[in-house]
Amino acid sequence: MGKVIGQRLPLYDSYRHTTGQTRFTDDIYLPGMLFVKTAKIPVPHARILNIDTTGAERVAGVAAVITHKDVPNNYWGAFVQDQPVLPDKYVRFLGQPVVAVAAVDEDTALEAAEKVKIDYEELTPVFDPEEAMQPGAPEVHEGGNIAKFGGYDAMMVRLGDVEKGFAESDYVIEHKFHTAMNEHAFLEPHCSVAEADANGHITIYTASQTTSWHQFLICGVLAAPINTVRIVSGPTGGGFGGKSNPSTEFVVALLAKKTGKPVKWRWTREEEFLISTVRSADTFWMKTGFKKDGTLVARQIRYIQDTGAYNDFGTYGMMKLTSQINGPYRIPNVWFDGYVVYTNKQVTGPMRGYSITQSVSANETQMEIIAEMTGLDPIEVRRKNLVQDGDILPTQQVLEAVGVRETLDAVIKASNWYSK
Amino acid sequence: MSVQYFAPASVEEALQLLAGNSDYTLLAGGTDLVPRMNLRQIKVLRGLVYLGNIAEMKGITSHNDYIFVGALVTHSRIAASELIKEKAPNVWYASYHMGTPAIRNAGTIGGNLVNASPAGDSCVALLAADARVILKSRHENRLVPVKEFFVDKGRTVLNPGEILYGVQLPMAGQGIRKGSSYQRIGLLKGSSTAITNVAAEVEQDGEGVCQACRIAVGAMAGTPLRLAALEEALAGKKIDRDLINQVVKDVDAWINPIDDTYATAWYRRKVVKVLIKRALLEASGLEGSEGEV
Amino acid sequence: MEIAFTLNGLAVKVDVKPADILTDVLRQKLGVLSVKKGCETGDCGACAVLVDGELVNSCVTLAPTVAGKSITTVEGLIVNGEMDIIQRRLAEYHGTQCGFCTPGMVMAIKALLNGNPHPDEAEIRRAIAGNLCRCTGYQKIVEAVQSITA
Ligand SMILES: Cc1cc2nc3c(=O)[nH]c(=O)nc-3n(C[C@H](O)[C@H](O)[C@H](O)COP(=O)(O)OP(=O)(O)OC[C@H]3O[C@@H](n4cnc5c(N)ncnc54)[C@H](O)[C@@H]3O)c2cc1C
Ligand code: FES
Ligand code: FES
Repeated sequence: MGKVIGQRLPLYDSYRHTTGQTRFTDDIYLPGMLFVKTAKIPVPHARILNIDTTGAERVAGVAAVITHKDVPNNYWGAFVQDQPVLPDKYVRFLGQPVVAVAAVDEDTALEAAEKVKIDYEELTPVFDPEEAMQPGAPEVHEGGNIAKFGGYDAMMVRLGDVEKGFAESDYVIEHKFHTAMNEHAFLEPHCSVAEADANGHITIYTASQTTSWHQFLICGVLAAPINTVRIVSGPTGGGFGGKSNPSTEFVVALLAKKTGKPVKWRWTREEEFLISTVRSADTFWMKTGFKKDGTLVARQIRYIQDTGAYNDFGTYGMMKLTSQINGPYRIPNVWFDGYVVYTNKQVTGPMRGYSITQSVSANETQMEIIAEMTGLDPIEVRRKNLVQDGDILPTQQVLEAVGVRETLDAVIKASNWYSK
Repeated sequence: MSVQYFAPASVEEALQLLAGNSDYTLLAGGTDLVPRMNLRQIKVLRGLVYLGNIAEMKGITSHNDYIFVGALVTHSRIAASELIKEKAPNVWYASYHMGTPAIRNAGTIGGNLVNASPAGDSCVALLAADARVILKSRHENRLVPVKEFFVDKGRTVLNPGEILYGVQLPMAGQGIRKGSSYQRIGLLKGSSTAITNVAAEVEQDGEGVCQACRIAVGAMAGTPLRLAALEEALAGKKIDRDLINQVVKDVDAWINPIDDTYATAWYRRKVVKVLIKRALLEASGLEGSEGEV
Repeated sequence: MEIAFTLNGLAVKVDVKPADILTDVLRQKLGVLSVKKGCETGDCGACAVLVDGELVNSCVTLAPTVAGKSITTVEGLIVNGEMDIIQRRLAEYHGTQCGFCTPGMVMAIKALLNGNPHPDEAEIRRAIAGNLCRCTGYQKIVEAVQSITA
């Protein structure tokens, strides 16, 4: 064995972790630093009628109180700019921050936030995406609850002739699947610190999984040239996809600009569960046709992804999903319609195997059922249908350098599968 | 909010303090109280009386017909006590399996009782043990059966100005074979409050006839609960599998499970029957316990 | 109110409010930033420290209650510039990834080994059951401890 290959090498930062020297964003304390807490309303769907911040501003120790009026470009989003930094017209999920307060400490900020008066008209919420798609359902967004794909309601993918495929199949099975919402629950809650220099340029310390992306979005919201916003990505105390979009950063940047002081916003675990992004809960129908010998012939999917209150990465998630609807299997006839639907729940976003794990679980469940129905060995059914170089995915991608067969063989060998 | 802090060194001193300030909040291990403070659920906090310096409430002592456990004894101390493990195995099991190492090191048996959670582990074990609590105030000592201690979720018969001093665990009389079993199910193996928990004690004579039995369940009502109807159905009879299956069938009428983030009432209703059955089989000696750490 | 206690072998005096949690006092007043806030409800163990040798979650410990006691954090395990073997092995066995749970995890293992120098696997897992780690899956942590005790 060499000096490196075959050796167990500690990660470059791990001794700092074990000795407690790693400085996460919440470990940054700057002179004169202010702390943020927010005002919210106790319902998931409402029209905002009036926001009165005077009570909060009067609390001793409060440096600034901001609302949507203080945000240069309030609406942001990766694909659709539908998400307000601080809402002006509607609250669309429970716990959505409406007003942000910066004060000398968290207790003072909280006391002030409790004194903000938000008048609102409660609206009927909708939580189930299937319900949200029905005509007459409560509207999460004006203009309907179905996000658009280039003017269409659904992301559509077609390969071959699916009706012909089902007709040629010996068996056709169909199931409805429902997956659960997941919270990343990284140990380090969201936190960021912003400070403005003498020129008003902003430095934001944060635990971002996507530094440049943060900078791009934050500059948009602040209406600031890109050279005036610096992002320092510190160590990330777990991200798993959940730290891909800005969360606390817009507000601390705005407050640092307004007050000229360093500002920190740290979410509590309660806020993590209530307002951070989650993996979407999806509902879908998967119909698969196959031959007696286990060969897959056709697949039809109607897919509903619950994106929550805002689109965020939802459109992208649906596009990403379509590359995986066959899993690693060759299916010559495919018909897919995927809907991204708004509901009055917290926003969904990337999480480990973004958008893919949901359909993979359905795919492999059906493979097990197919093995049972055909009496074939579950590994053999899979092996028979594995993709290979030159195969075309439903998205028209032509595959090359496919290694799945070798991978499967290696796993079977390593796990001693056949002697279990 | 300005809060007064006191750390009395004796029960006398603590009671003296409470006599004039019955709205002060008592603090033992803090594992129930402090999370609620951090979540801003405690709206009024005038004074904190930390009991942790009162040595006489930290003892485990053996007496003629009972064992005394001070209210400040931590779950870790109980889990490490050979005496409790031998003489009150359910009380031992409850402490050994509750929470996490850090929670057991701080959390006390007294705090568990006064917190009166519907599925408090010590609460359920002490109910089935027929334990008595000693309540002290400036002018009075009260001995209250645990069965009469809980009023509602988070509420007990403890009066303002009173301190829970300790617990008495009665021991079985001569010639009685006492079997016991504690069953619990949680979301995680470590760290998690019970979805439901069951403690059973069965006293049998030489012939296997049930002389007395006590069955306590958690999360089946606003407070930990004794299932008196089941106990009566077993009393005076020779216990076998058929009898146990029979009485477990009737559980539904006597429970009203809580519905919360840990589990639904529907699930609790299903699972509690399985646990009661296991508990009775084990406590009556018909089945051994499953090995576990 | 002023309280005095021992922190990593040194006598300290600090001004606290009765309802301050120990985590905040250690982090903000005494600069012990290894003590993390993951939940503030006693559930995650990121804030775990030793109080008189026993593992305790500092977020559910009110600061005045540690008056006169002795507190140890990961900083205190470094003696004459030498790391504790737990700190070395966790790093070498990849028992730490993002590192946020790690200081609490180190203290939980320290508490275990202080009382039981040769724990079996079940005892190791029971000892770290209150320290949530979302990155490692625990296996590498267990292996790191086993490498010490084997
Ligand atoms: C992560 C976590 C996991 C947990 N897991 C479990 C579990 O698995 N099972 C379980 O049952 N519980 C569990 N708990 C709850 C808690 O740890 C226990 O109920 C514990 O026994 C409480 O004791 P304490 O000394 O910490 O109480 P404290 O928080 O100090 O006090 C609780 C209440 O009792 C009052 N009180 C305390 N002592 C006295 C006294 N002597 N006289 C009068 N009043 C008093 C206090 O005023 C307060 O209202 C868990 C808690 C956490 C944070
Ligand atoms: S922060 Fe203390 S246990 Fe999580
Ligand atoms: S290493 Fe990231 S939580 Fe444990």
